[in-house]
Amino acid sequence: MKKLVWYHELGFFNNPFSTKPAAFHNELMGYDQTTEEISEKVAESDIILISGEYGTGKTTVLKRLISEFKGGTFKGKKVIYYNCNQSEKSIDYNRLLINAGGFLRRLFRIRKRNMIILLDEAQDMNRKDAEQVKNYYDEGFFKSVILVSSNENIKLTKELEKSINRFKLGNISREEAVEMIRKRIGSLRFISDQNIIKIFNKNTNPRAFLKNSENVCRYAFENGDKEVAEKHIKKVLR
Amino acid sequence: MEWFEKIGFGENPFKLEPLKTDYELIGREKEAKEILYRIASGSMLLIEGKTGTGKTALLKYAIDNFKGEGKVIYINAARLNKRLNVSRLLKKKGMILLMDNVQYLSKKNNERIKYYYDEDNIKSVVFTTTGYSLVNFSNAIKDRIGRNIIKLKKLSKANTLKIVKERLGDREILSQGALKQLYKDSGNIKEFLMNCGLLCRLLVKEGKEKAGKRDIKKLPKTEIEEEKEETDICSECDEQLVKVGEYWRCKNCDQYCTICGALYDDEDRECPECGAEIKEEKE
Repeated sequence: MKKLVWYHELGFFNNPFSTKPAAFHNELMGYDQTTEEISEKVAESDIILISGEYGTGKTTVLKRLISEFKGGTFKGKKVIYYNCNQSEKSIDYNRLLINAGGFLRRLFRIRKRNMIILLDEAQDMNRKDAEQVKNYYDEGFFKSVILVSSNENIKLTKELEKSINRFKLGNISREEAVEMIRKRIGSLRFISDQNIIKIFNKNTNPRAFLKNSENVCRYAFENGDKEVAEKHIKKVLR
Repeated sequence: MEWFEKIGFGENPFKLEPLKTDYELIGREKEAKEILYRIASGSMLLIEGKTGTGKTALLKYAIDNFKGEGKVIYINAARLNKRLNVSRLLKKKGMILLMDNVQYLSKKNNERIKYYYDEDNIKSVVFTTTGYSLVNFSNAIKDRIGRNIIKLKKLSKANTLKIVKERLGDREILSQGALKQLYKDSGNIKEFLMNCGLLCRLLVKEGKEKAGKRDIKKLPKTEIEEEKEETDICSECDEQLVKVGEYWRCKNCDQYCTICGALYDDEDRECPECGAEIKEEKE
């Protein structure tokens, strides 16, 4: 059974083309400049909306922001991550703020201040959630608010609308595409840069591109070939 | 004494529940390879096929191959209570989720699966359904599945006969003619196996050695219905659940907005989702 997984044979333990946001310690994607700008805004205590189509890497950018801003475990967290579709109820900001604190805060139910809150799938926020997040921000409980949504036209309150910074994630460049693969598989000769670009040209959406790369490499390997060639790309990505 | 015991079988050789039997998977080599690969490489996969084409049998194959790792969870959505929040079942790290009949799962529950998949709590997911168009997937999940879809077609005649051989061994109690006719008459493998069972039972009853093509005419007409439990009854108080907006709610156990179905807290004066005023209930 082990034989059938092509990437084991090439020396990888896990799927090097995994499209999971949690894989690879959030280190690899092409949005270096965008993430830098977003981090600056977070440091300046702003409200931010990150939007982008499916598969453009919203959750991956988020994960990266989390690892950048999270504090040590001793003093409690500095970042709160909340996925708006994980519960059906309204967001309980008070509970999130209490749980973010260390042992003593939790014991005496004291809310932590100056937190960075990341709200994923913000298109699923309800009206109350949107109103309240601004109140908590104004009162200083949230130092910065980051909303992430697949839809850039999400319903926000007028006050929130005024103070928001918008970032839109789009498709990545050819160079970034090659870099994305190289960071994952190193200089492995199994696939050349030219062929990576050929795969990228078929579909430039980052997630689709990674999946296509996986399927082409798998096909070439299972076909018994030593390297990815044009014929494999043509066959798999008709 | 059951009919199969009279001819020397310990259990019904044509038992239909793939999860409770240990037969080899026949005629699905390509699909089997694909399912193992997608699970191992941490993907989402959808198996589409009509009732009785062998979707659950494929999941059983996956269970047998990965159960050593102790993290496979099989859920049949047709038997899952509509009000249930699947998050309760998905807390372990690195799980392999096999979701049978996903067309019965709510959009909210599908979104939760997506969330746990992204968090890597769920390593990989295999969904099965009778039709992609019936499933309540959001675009975010559809995008994660992408082209990882296996479409199951009717099993070939040769492979179907191989299955009979595996089930009956050397005992040729059903003639080749009868088997070929049954294959023609049956829409899928499940129906075929059921008919084989009925024919064997008839043969035992009539005290014959072998059933032929003509005996088929004596069989009652069978049709396979999709199995479904009463999933619209509250698991806590047995009250009939009601559908409000997108949600299934229980009148006794949930505190919900009667307009959109969203849950609200005690202190809420208006619905957190649609903003409608909440009327105080008369005690």
